[in-house]
Amino acid sequence: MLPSFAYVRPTTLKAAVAALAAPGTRAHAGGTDLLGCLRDRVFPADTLVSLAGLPELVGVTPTAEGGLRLGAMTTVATVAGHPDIAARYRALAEAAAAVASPQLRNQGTLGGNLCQRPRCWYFRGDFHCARKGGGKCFAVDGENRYHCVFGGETCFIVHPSDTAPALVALDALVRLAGAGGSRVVPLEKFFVPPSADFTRETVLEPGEVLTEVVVPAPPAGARSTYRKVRARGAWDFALAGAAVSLGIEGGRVKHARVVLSGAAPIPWRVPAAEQALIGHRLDGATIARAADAAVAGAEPLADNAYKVPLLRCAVEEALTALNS
Amino acid sequence: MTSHLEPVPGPLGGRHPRIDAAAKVTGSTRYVADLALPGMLHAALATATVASARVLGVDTAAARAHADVVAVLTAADVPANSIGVIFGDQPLLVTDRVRMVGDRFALVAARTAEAAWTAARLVGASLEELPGVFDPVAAVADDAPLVNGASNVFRTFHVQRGDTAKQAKRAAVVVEAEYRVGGQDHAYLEPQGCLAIPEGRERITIVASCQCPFYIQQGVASVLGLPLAAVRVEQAPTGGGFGGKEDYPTEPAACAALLAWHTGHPVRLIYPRELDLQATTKRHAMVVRHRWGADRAGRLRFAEVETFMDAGAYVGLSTVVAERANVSAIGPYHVGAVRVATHVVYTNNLFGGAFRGFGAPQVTWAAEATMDKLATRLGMDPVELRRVNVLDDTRRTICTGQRLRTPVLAREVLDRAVELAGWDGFRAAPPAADGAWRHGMGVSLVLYGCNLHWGGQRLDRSSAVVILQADGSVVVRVGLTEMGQGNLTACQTVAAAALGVDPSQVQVWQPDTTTVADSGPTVASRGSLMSGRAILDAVRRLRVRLDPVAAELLGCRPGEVELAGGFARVAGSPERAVAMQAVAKEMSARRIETIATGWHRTKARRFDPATGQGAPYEFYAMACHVARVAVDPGLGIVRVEEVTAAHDVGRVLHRDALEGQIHGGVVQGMGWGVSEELRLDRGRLVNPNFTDYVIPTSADAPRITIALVESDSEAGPCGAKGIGEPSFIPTAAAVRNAVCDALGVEVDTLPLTPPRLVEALGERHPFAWVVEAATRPATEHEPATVGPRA
Amino acid sequence: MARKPRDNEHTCPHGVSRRGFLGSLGAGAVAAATLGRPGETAPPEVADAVEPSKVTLLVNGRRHRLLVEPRWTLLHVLRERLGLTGSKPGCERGECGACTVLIDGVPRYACLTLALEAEGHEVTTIEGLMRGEELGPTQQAFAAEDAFQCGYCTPGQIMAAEGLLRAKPAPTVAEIRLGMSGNLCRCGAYPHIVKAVRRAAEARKGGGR
Repeated sequence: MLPSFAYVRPTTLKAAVAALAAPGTRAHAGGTDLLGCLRDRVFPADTLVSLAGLPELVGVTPTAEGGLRLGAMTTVATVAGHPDIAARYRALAEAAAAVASPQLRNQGTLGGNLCQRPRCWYFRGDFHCARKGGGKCFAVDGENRYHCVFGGETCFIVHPSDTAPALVALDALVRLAGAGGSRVVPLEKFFVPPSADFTRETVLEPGEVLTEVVVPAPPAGARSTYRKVRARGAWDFALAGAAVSLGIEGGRVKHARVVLSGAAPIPWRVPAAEQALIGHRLDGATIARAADAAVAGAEPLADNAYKVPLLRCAVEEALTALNS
Repeated sequence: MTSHLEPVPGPLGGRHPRIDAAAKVTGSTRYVADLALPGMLHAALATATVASARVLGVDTAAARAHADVVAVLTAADVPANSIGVIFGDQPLLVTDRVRMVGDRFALVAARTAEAAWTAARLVGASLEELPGVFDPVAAVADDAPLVNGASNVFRTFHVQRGDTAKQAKRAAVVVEAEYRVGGQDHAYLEPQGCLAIPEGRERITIVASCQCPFYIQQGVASVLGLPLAAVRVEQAPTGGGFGGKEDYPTEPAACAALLAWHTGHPVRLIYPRELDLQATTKRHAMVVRHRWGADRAGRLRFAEVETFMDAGAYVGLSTVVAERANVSAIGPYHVGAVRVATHVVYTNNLFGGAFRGFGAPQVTWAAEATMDKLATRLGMDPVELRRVNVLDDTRRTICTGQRLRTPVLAREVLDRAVELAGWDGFRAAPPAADGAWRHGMGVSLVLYGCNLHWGGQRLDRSSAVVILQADGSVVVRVGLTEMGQGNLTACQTVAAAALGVDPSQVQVWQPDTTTVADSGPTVASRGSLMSGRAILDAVRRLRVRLDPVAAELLGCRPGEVELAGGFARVAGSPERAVAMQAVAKEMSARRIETIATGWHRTKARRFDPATGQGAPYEFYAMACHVARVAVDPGLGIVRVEEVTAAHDVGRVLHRDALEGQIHGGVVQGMGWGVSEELRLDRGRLVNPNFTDYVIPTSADAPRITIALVESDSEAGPCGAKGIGEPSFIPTAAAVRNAVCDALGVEVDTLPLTPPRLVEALGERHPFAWVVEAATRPATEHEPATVGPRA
Repeated sequence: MARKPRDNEHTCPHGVSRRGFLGSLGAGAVAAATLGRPGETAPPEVADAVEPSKVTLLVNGRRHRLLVEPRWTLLHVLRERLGLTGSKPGCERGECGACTVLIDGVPRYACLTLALEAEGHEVTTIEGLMRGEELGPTQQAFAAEDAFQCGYCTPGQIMAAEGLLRAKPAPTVAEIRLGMSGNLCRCGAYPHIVKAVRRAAEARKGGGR
């Protein structure tokens, strides 16, 4: 049984934002992550604010600038099956299709996938860890098989989302609505690394809600892909992964984004790998240099050094796939 | 599925719909969670989250004060506070000492399940943490903290045959290895659950999801101080067991019974999933050390095996598991000299219990790995090495000195599996790498002792009741349970065949301890064998009264009556027939007793536990699995593409259920072999959920090809042998050998997860060097260029 | 297509027909929107308290009016309030699939769906697949192919199969394996489950619904 909460069903965004400003309030989108967290008492909620009464948050529409606007309440299944996304933003379609199980994709939303809480077993379990306001990260000298190899500091979670690295690679923006209007943030800046604040994963303020994701028009000669490494054939979080988006003109890489998943507390963009690609032909040597650069500076914990070659391999496979 | 024997006429070996098919596909089967009674209370447990501590006090005041709470019980409220299934080393509720996570401080009954679990969290235990020990090898060290009693080595079992030192001199190659084989959770989809219904202070009924109603009967009677006759246990339809509902359900049943006894209300206890994973028994983790040698021709000269079995904090069934592990350690091979020692070791980890295979899978995994290592050293094909050593009709003495009954079909299952899997073609021309995927094939054999080990043979009996109803339909009761494996349907099939009626005429009902005598546990792949033999006995006894009535109606002698096709008829003159309904009606009209009991016990055997010599099992089944895998060495991912399973099954009772058992054994064995890992942090499971404890999905299941090697034997009813466990045991070993074949490295730790494979590849990983290169001190890498916020 | 609500009940509770709604947004989008009910004004900005509130649920073609606490999951309400115990609790956190039901024809986990969310949508459970006294084609296929063992995951498997086949009437084996991957079967009956889904697809093609 879930703990008690009040449930608010606003029918306007303004009302939703107003409701979310109250302390102890959480937005309820698909609920696939939220309800599990409440059941396991990962965090409390006095009031859930349903976003289901806001049809304007649903759907995929073209933007005037040639990109796509994806409402935050669009289901992951819709994103995975949308022909425009598959055609022009393949990394996102692949990432969405790789999320969880069919039922969870039918229910979970794109916004929820970006805002989901970490999957660290100490955070989710009955441990009063640093991210929950406790004194320490239990993973440091505990079971850290699946924890981060980049960006860990005080807390060593990995970001659980598949769509987030894909969208960062696609230079997506997110719109955050609050009481004073809305602001647009590059998705890359939406996520908060532990070095900045280890108690939150996003820049969302109380009373703010993520309303839409905008992917800009792809660069010339665009191609993108998401490579997810998982132990089980389906329904599994990424052990490691790589989202890559390239623009290739005249046989040379003009634009590159390389983002790792399963690697860091946030989708981990690696500019060094991008620099290794830009200006070069996408051949085996370039790919190898970029893949090496992608994992440079990794700081594994006692039990997760395997992630470094895995990530390198994922980057190489993703780039190789884009080369064919 | 192929078979070299013709099917027998009648329902035997057929595919008629299971007895519970309609109920299960309509959702109308009533599991424990679907049962409720007026006034029913809900139970919850307050349990430890640390593995080793002294208990200074338990404070239940806050829990008692919580709204809707009716009772909170502690150890002081338990008439006889001991729940160990064999040994008295486990309290139902702890008093002074916590020895593992999940130990119970208090029981709560409340008017809602929510109130009960909320109140359970309010129980305060004042603890002084103590050092714990979490590895079975570390636990045997002199300075290891003691877990439970005077020594962490609870018992050691042996097999000693021949002179290994002498035989070692004839060995041209010797393999030494240490295998670390991980545990496994049963992960049945229906969590532990039971309903206790008291009748005053006189007696009590327990309805439980379980494999062994008689264990629960004994446990509850003992805890409450009641005679056995005052405890009735009815098995509820059970949503999977796999051993996890053999020994463990006695604990929740005793908890619910205590609360019911104290409150006078029916009490239902359903485990939340996370508690089910955190607190219940597991497959034992084992460390298996090998020293095996073979001569130039590949003949096994000696084998030394020392196994450290992680029993966890309580012995439970660990000694019995160790007995099977002990005599299974060598496999179906002829070996000149054998020394096996199996230590049952206490640790502060979650305790081990029954799990499909019962100790055999771990030692089989090690034995089959060593066989492949020997083959590599000898430059022999792994199958060829096995052919050189495998038991057969001419060489049929196992490591305990027991001579097997013929036919011994180990060579046949090996040959059939290898042929069907295309082993020779694969070895001659291995498929080229498919992108990153490399292919491998591996083989594993198993020698499976059917029914219970000598040590448990006092329990190896079975009871049945057959009632011919006045309309010709038949009620069958047995003492062994249905948990998905198809026991009800197998019993239906056997009864229908014996009475010559259509299976649809026979209803087999879930066991209830008041309708049949103690039949022992439904384990060790013995359900159909033991129930079936008891049913045949009951039908034989029924016919003492039935045949004369039929004979009178037919105008023949009772000895001439045969039952077939729904008729009693005159043997040799099938046209002289009378419908069974008519016979039943006549018996009813004449007030002739139409109920008969049946009984079966296995043959008494001799065995010397000091040397492990004698006859540990009555008879054996052989199996061989061949796995074909694809492995991505860069990512460490294993895709099990096909498992070819050849089984020595005696005779088939029900073909669909038999196939289902093999499919399930293969899928579950594959899960154990490649993905399922219990991650314990100081004895506490950090992954008690199905997100982090990863069992196979439909997307992971391999193609499964089945070959049945049938034979007529005196084994079970109509010649059937057990299949539940032999279907599981060889899979992980065959997968391991296939993965090693694909990668060209040895992996001696189970499961073969991606991290494990990357680590096993070590320097041979395509990017082994990146770990060092990438993690060089940051100054060399100018970290400012790395990271999202550069 | 889903069965019509019973004659003595109100017809479609949606403001638009289900078909039109799906057509405009894609099948996956149904989870997100709540549409107004006919004969009522669009719901105001309801500030439901912790206390139970009145809802009308359309389950297996029958309308149920009941009091529901906000925190009650659809699974809880189906089992404990409506007596529909075919949907099984296996993990209560969306990790096993035993509670799979169809919402507007799309498979979802009832344990992760609030009962309040289901208002205005059509819920189908295993009990709703029966055609009177007869098994529905997917149920028949599971029985005929022996596609179950212990049976605990079976209602969820059948609902997932039903949803898969409604969206994709002729799936390939690979699509079935992935489409059914949100439902764990620890008995490992997957080979028979895949056969059953294929058989159900055939049966539906040949005149089944």
